[in-house]
Amino acid sequence: MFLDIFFMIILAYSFGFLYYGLYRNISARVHGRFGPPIIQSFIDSIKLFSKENSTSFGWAFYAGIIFMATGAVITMLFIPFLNHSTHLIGFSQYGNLIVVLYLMVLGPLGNAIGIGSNGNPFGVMGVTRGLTRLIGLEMPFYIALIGLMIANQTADISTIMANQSEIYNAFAHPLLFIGAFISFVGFMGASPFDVVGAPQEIYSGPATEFSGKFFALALSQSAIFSFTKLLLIVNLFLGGADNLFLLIAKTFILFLAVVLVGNVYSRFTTVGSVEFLIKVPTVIALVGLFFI
Amino acid sequence: MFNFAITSLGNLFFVLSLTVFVSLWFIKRDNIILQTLLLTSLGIIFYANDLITLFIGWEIMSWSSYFIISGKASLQTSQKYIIFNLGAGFALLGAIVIIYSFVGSFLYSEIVFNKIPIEFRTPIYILLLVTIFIKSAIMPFHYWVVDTYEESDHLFSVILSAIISKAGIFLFIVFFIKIIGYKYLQSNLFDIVAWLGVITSIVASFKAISQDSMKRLLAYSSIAQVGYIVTILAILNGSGLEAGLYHTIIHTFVKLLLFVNIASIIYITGKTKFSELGGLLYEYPALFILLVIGIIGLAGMPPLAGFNSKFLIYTTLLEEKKALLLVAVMFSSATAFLYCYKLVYGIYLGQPTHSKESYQKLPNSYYIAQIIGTLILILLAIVPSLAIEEFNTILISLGFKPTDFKSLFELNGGFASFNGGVIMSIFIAIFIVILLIAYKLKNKTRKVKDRLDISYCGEIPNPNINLHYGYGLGKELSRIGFIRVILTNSSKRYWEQIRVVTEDSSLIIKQFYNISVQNIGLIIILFFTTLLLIGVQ
Repeated sequence: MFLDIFFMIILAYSFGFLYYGLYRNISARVHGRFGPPIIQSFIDSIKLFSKENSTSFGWAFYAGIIFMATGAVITMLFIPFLNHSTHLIGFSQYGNLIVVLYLMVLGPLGNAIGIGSNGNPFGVMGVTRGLTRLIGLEMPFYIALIGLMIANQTADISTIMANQSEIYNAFAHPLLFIGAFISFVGFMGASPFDVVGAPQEIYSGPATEFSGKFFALALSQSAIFSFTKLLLIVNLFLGGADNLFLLIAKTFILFLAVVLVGNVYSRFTTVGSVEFLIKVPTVIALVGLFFI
Repeated sequence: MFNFAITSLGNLFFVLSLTVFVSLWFIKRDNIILQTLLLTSLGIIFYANDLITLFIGWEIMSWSSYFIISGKASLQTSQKYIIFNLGAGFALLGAIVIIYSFVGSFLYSEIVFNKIPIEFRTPIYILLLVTIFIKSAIMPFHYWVVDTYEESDHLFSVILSAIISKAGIFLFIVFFIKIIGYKYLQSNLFDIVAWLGVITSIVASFKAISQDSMKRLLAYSSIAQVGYIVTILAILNGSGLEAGLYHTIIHTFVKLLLFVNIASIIYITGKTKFSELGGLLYEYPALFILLVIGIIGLAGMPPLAGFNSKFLIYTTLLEEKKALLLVAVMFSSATAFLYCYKLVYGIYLGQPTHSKESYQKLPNSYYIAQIIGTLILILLAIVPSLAIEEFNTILISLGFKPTDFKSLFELNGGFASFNGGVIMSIFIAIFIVILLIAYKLKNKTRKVKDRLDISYCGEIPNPNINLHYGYGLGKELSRIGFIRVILTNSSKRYWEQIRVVTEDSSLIIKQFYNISVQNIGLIIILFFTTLLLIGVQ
């Protein structure tokens, strides 16, 4: 059991960073650059753990970031990695999709508390943008997931995965998938919904003031959380995976789709992204819900 | 004359009320006679066994709370409170009179709803709903709430939010389930009620985000949370009742915790607005932690018990296939994250905006109520079905099937279930492991001594610059079309219109009181004309 959980964390951590490295590389090629080596982000995170913290603002600053990392890891442990398996399923039998949806919000709350405690007004600007964007992002995502739960008559992720043996939910409920996918692009922090954490906006973003081991912890949780989100969509819409190879293949395809979308579209403002998310994917998902 | 009955439903509501009152009496015993009268009136309502006893309790509740409010609030706000609550009382009396005129008894057990003709049933429902909507602040009857909560004594606001608003919920359960029975209710009307509840939640959540006053934010948050309860009760089944009762308990303790927390801050600083506060985290860490626990409960996040009631609300709506209603509830719930963060940021995080010299020392008694709220949130998070055990006796007494659960740690929502004990244990375990990893990495850390030592576009911020402008978060929401509509409109203008019409029409009535031969003649003519018309018919 413990070995299983340890392996899940290592897998999410490694592939999270690997995908982040690939994201930087693919984006660079799209821009006509070579980009850093794929494992550069992984190396950066390890290195940062040993670096001096340039600033520390007291215990709440620490607690916030630890809370955020806890949120990412606990969310991952309630999503099964494999279909029809007794291994790599974490604690998914004790939870369900609604639990996962709410666990996903724990991390951002920890992040917001850590950022708020340092007193930097630019940090909270990022949090405000993030929370405002969340209003738009959650609408289509929740509609799609509500549609899936009603169609499957369950909130159990394993059962929703198992029910896709004949046809993936992405094809059975395409409008729900489109709605969820557009919103998912935002959840992954990709353009056009990346105003919160975009490199150009970093000074007024949530990462302001983090350094050394706290920044490393923030990056690590981000890697784990990104992999968790990919895993969730694969499980819900792409039939899950029966083995590790399929899992990596499916998460990678989904990740690639997000990266390519992110490289094509220019960035929305915070208000623009909420308006777009309410007008387009929400309406698409609502139409999808109508057909359930 | 008075008829009482000890019921499990009455016990639940009375124990909640008693806990809140007693935990507040540890802090301050102002207006103790009126508060005891108020608690007694709540006891009369919760244990009443006939409609007249219930009505008397209801009126004592309205008047005793009015006298407490008027001691602190402005004349206009107090009048607003009593006018709305008298309106609720009249509507309740109207419903009772119609029921009695057909049934011939005030006793709950003797009321057979079959005896009431179908054409009189809808007016009864509407009169009762008006009473409930006014008391539980469902829009557009919420107009009295925000000013009253803001201007009342800081600790009395707890009672208004945690207890008085629940009297409406109790009335809903007693009338629509116990006395009338779900089978007689028209689902179309209650679909509208469910939507009114959720629209109230959405609008109140956005209004809450835009507030600068801590108490106004919590007042709107109360409106939003009670909106959920009305929505889920209007689903008209046993699961909805269970979810509504669970949310009632959670909301009571969350609001006890949050209102006492901000009452503590007001006691210490004398300030009530986010724009005048900020940066109190390191001076009052215990209050900060208690508030964070409160907002996790309010936002309904696991591992705390706030999630339990949200979970039951969602599973009930999923089971009933009320997808759009669920979407609206989840949307409102997502909006709540913003005002929850504003509450913690505006007070404890960010930069201080004030001198700390005039701070008062907080008496320890302020912590008792908050600790009670916290312990309940943690206890129900670990053993969520502890409350279900209690609800099952209520469900059985009201003729519903009890809910099965395998263990006290598991919460069974019918559509899905989860294990609260496991979630809490894993959360604590992971938090400790990550904490140890972060602690063991002993790399150098430069501790910041000056709060202004921050990254600020390569400049050193001037101490005179207001760096706490983050308290205004949510203001930019007004740039989003549909949110702007919500934020710029208010029910005030409609009530103002009603006031003007009432004032004008009262001028006509006033004419009858002016003693002149002409008026007496007019009254006599009108009287006989009415009699003649009745006679002809």
